[in-house]
Amino acid sequence: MLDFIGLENFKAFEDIELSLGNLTLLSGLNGSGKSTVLQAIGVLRQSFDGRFLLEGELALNGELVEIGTGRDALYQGFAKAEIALSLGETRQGEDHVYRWLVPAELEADVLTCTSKPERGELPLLDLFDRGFQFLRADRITPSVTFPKSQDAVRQKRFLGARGEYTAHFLLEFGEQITTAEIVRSPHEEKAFSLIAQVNAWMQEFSPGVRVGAQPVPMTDLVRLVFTYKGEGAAHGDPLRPTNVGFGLTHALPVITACLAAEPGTMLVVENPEAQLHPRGQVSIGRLLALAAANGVQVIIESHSDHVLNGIRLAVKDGLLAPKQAKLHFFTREPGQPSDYQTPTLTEEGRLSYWPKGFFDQWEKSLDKLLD
Amino acid sequence: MPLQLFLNGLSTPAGAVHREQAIEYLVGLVRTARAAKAIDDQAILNCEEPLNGFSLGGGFSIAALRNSGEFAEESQYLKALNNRAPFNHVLEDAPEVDPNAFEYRILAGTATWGGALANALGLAHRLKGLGLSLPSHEAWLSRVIALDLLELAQDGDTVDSQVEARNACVPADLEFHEVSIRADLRPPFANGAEIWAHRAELFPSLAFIPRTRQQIEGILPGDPMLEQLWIKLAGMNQAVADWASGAVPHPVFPFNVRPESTSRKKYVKFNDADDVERTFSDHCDLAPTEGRIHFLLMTEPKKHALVGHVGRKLGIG
Repeated sequence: MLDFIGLENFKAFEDIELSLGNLTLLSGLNGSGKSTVLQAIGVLRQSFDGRFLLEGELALNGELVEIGTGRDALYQGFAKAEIALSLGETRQGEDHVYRWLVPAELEADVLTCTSKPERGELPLLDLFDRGFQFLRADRITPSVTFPKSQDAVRQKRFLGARGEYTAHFLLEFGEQITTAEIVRSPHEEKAFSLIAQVNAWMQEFSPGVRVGAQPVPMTDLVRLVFTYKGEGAAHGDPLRPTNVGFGLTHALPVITACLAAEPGTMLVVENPEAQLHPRGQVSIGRLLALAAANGVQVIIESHSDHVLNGIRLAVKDGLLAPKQAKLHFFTREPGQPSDYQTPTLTEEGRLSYWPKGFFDQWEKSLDKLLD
Repeated sequence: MPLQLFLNGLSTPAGAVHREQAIEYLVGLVRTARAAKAIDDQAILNCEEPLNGFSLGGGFSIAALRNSGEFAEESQYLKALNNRAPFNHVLEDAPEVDPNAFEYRILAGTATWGGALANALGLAHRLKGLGLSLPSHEAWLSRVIALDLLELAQDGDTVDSQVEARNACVPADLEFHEVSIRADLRPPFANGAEIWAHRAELFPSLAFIPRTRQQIEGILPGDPMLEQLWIKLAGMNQAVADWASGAVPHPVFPFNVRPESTSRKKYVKFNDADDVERTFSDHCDLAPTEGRIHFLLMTEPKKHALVGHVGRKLGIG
């Protein structure tokens, strides 16, 4: 598990070392720097995937993130035009730091390191391992068909940055993968397969729904089929994704990733709450917390107090230890580098303190309503 | 400790109450609570029973009004006011207060409630907080309410005395109490030298390395850093005391605490009283300028925090 990520002169950050937990929640105003943290993770992973990293290069644009050129990546208030990304982990009781230092060539989109971990020094971190997921905010929307990717799904167990291979993943592994006990839905206590548990969790978002993946004959496409429970036990006629709620398709990659993830892998999700109603947002927060409790390193960017509450309730219920959750709240004053605060959780799921601006808009609005 | 509000259950009217009256009580209670929060944003509302069940009279609980589809905002506001029940939760934050060593009753001989057990108002007195009452009777309109206090002395005898508890049932009552409430919230010393002189009593869970003496003693009367230093050291002391007592598995600081980054750790190495160099990585902000308090959690000879730096952020020129 990564203990921290260090960012120097990278986008909104001058120099930070951000601690990471089993579950890390990044929040804050737009432009405060929380996405930058995910982008740094994305740059390292896509550089690894593209065989840049081992050659000592950072690819700013790729499948996961598109930052632009060195000019876009460089912190505007830099003292020296050098960017550094670091990863820290504890291995066999010893602290290890891996650091990539690159001069920020302003027009280059692949930056060459002047300092990097030696070949062989870099162990197979969770970040670079099979099963890593990086789900962007602009995930799949309802579509009649979805693509297949043997490389992504079979080789990397990857759902795609937009979750576009989720349907293929469910087709291949829906019946094969047995979910871990801790992530299983209380609504389905008998069937443990991935597809059974995906459908059990989907009840939290739309009661009665059932989703399945079907190959489209003679093509490299997969179809998602939704049905709703009719009268009695039978399900009604199949529906195209385009004819059911937007949120179901949008949330499917997140649910699938949480249920399929193996301990020791990493799951990064932007806006898991997107398109879900408040009850569903609490449920997705809880599911992400359960995935973290299963030994998956979960990193979330979210604007949702309901997602936060889902995590807090999982802690209160004793499913995730308070110390396993890191809640980072980012702020940025005009002309200043980004800064952050880290309130901690108690065993009751309460916060040690509420930073000003940290999910307090509800209370502020309430106060105005009572005027 | 933030301002503690105690909902006075004695002020619940005993007889029949019209729905309109119950609504007026709820709305008035929220207005009064908001006036209290304006004095201390961290104010905490303590109740003897869960807030939902608090009766506004005549079978109208807060939950009943909320469930009828009205006044949801008022109910939500009270719940969001760090609401907790029962009263013994507040005593977890005040380990020096033994709830079995005292008893408060409404002053004997007072019409209607004389001699009645007064837990809410009693705790308001004991913790320098404020009782919140419904204006259901003339008795609860008083801004101070006289109480009989029966205390267990150290020799085992009981001691009787009369005391007064702060009480409020309309926002104007907060204007009346504001000066004394603010005085009780202020730090109990005038300058850094007094903090240093009394550090052992004020912060029994903290220790300080020699270099911090000059830093703390250098804070003069009127310096806004004084109050901030009090808030941070008191919060740190409480968090470490809870950790040391086993109440929590790790210190829960009521403000942001973070470690120093690898590249900045060189700035926070200081020698302790035994001339041993230590790295004081954990730190919190110290307003109003770019200040920091650096400290180190220690487990020997007992769990405590060792403070290594009080002052300007290091390494920024």
